[in-house]
Amino acid sequence: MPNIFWDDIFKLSKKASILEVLSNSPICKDLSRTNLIKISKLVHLRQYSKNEIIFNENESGQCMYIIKSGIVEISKIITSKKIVLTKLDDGSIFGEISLVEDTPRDATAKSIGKTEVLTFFRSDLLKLIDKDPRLSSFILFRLSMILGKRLRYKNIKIK
Amino acid sequence: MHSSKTNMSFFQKTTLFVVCLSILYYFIYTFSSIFLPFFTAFILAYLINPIIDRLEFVFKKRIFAILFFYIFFGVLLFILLKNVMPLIISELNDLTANLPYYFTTIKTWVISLKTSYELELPILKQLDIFKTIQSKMEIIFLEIVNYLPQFFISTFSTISYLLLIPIVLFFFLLNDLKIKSSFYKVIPNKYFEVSIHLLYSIGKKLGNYLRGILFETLIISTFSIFILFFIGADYSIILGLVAGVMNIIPYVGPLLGAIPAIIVLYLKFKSLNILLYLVIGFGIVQLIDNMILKPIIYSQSVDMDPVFVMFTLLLGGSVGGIWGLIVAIPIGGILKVIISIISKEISFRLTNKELPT
Repeated sequence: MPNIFWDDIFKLSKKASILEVLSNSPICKDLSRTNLIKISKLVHLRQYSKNEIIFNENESGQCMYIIKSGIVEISKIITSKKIVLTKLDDGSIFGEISLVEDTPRDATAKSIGKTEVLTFFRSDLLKLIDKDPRLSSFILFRLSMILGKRLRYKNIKIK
Repeated sequence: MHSSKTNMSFFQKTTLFVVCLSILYYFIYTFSSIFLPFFTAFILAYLINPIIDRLEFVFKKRIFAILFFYIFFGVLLFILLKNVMPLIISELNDLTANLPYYFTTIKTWVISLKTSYELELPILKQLDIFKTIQSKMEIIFLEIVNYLPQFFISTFSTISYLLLIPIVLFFFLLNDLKIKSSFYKVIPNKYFEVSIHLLYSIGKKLGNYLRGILFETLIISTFSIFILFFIGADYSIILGLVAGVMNIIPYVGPLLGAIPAIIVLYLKFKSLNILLYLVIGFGIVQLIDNMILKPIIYSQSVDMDPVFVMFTLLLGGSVGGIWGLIVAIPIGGILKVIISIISKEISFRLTNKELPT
């Protein structure tokens, strides 16, 4: 077992890995390093153990999650039957609708193995709009791109 | 389900929690005087943070933003201390010297009122209203006379606090995000999202409220000072400040704030015409406050029902006196935010459980 106190006393590897995860995630892709550092100060790193619920369906959603490591299962209960929608791994994001709207979660997210995620709160995005309009509008642009992509995918599915 | 990394039972956890809490309480209780500057710095950091956040965008680095703020504020404070402080101190000295005079004139005034009214309404004599009023007034005035100089000395002359607060404040402002996120790490996963949302919402409302109040007090005080100055009242700065600070208390505050000014003015001019000017002036200030300032300030902070406001005020007043009145509204606002968020969470879950798919 690694010594948590002395192995990485300045937490340099942790900071570097957060930046790396952010730069690989679809929402912060192509951002400059200074901007990535700004975002990295806003996100919270959370650890989930095996089979832990990250959020339940119908809970109020306040933040978006970016997977740093591990696998997350997204499922939904339809007519009292659990249906697994998808499984996500490193770098992918989920719960991104909550970044723009205060609505209940559509689905349940559960960690399959040991998982580390970064959370990005709507309130932080709103504060960032005041603080750094350029950066935040870029993030909002990325977000709308992702949401648009999902919408198009659904349209195709309906057809 | 694994609830946490360590495998403690519920009982063990609760015991640990209680022990930690009692140790913390003991620590805070014994060293409460040391915590005061830190607490003050914490509150100040809370209020100043959004300003620094905006400045940070201009200066790119947070430390430069903070230094700019310190220099700007320092110059402002220096000008204020150099020009306004001597005026306030001389007014204060005058006022404390003249308080016995005011007290005795009010007393004779009350006695003459009493005799004239008791002639017309004999029932008042039985009720003994004036005697109780007189004794209450005596106590209040004695308290004010004792308390006023001590208040100013104790708040303005503790040099160590004056040095310590800016330094602590500097680091609070600089490491704002670090302090917050290290605190957030303690929250268990299960409640993480809701509790952060709760903290954010409370912080936003409370911050807006406190900043709004500060702004409002400043504007009302300046208006009141100008009105009193133009009417020709003594102690216009102190009386204006009293009116401005009292204005924080909703509904009753403006009336309470006007009473000292009315007494001082009446005793100087001995005419009701001058009081009419004062009432008109203060009325215009209240109009500005209620029609322009309050809608701007309270639209983003606490939007509470008037009856609820009255209730919280009465509750706060009965529990903590004047301080209770002042803190009643923010505490009521916090409770309202907590209740609204939790009830929303519950309603989300309930409505969606009833309608599957």
